[in-house]
Amino acid sequence: MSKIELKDIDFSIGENKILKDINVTIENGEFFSILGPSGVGKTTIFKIITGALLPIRGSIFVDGNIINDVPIEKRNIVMVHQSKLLFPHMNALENVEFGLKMRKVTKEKIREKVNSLTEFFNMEEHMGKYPHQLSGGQQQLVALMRAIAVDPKVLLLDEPFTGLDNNLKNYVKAYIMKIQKKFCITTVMITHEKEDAFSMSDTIAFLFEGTVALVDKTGNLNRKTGINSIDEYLGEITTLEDGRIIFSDRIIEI
Amino acid sequence: MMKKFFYRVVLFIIFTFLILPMLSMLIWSFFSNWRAIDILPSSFTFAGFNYFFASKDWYIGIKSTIFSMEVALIATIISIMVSRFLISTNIKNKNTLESIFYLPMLLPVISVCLGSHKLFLQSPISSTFALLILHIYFSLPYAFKMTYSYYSIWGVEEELTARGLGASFWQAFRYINLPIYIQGYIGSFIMAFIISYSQYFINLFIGNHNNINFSMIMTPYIANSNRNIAAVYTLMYIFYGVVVMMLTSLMGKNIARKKSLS
Repeated sequence: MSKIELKDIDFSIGENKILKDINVTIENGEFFSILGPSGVGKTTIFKIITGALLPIRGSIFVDGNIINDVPIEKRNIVMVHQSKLLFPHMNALENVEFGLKMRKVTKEKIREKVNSLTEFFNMEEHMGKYPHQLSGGQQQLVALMRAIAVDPKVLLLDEPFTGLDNNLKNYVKAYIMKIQKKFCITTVMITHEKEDAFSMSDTIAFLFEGTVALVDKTGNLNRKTGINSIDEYLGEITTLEDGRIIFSDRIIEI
Repeated sequence: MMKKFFYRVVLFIIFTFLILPMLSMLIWSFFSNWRAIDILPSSFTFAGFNYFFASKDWYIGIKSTIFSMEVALIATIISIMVSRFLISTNIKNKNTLESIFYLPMLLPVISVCLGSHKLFLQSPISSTFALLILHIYFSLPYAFKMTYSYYSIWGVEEELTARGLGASFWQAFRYINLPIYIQGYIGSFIMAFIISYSQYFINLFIGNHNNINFSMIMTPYIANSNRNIAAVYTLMYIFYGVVVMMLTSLMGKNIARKKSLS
């Protein structure tokens, strides 16, 4: 687990500024969510953290070390994408083994690691299947297994519940929470679903129009923030008490 | 009902525009005479094939096939690099850049050849190299269109995931990109090959006596009235191309089937 800091990050395409002055600190082992409507630059932040995009200005620190120039494969930051979760030409087992093989881990250790993950995720009977033979939820679990198999410093989840129905969503959500607690991985999730962010995160950052409007502990967000865009966005929350978020129409246990 | 109708239309098109002309070529390659009043051709002969193999034109056929394969390979590699760049980076005027690659499709070959002829005469580069550049120039748009379409559909998320998991650029290309995009690469290669293989004007204008390709030696036979020889040359021209396409497709299928890390 590691601490991540984004300092003064700017990113633009031509004249179009996508991210402006992003300053965020994500603590060791924290579950951090970036919440905001679609198209405000959430995925761009992830691409910058992984190294797929270079910021125009600003720095990314992991455990105090600047990683702007570190190549993607050396960062040990794994992202689980919104779609195209798995390599389509490999079965579930090969997908999970991929990162370990790239790191030249011995066969015995790979077997040991994969077995423990398979058992933990209860996926024994699905490991020989190809992605198209797995359900959306199972694909998501295999993608998570593949990600944590390499013991990443940071796990990035890009809208992890897209395309899942409520049952599957709760099933995957429970596993994400379980692995986050068990492996103490610093986890960052981007989502536009308020309920998901509130029910899973220690800290939430609100991203609006490419700027972080507010970062606060989930427990502190039980009142009007005084920032119009956020209050409008969170409008339906009434109170937050005893580990429960009370919305006007439903209650979510944290 | 509609399905059956379209099926029949497709069959008719295939038969009329592919099988019938090929059948005619095949018959003509073994007969020297087929008068309009005869139902079947007469005077069976191997003269056309004997002439083809005795004249060593088969060797020119192989040479121009290999040259076109080189062109196709280079055009495909350039296309892959450009497609990856355009898909994975966020830059301004991406569409303009993309359009630039399609420009050679709009320019008449003869105009470019005339202009290039003057340009290359003044430059110290060899005619073979000049030829290579021009062949790539005309093949590139087609190769690029194929790879770029593939990349537009698939994106580069898998590659980024692989790299995030610890794969180097080349490992990600070998184990992830290659098996996933192989059909696109093969399509791109074949398109570039066909364009280069069928070029006549470029070799005529730019090449010297060492750069005669199969289209150039075939054209006079088609233009004169010896149909037997013309048919043999046409068949052999198709044969070389089909062999390359079949081998390339076979190779592609093998790569796609192969287990990525085994």
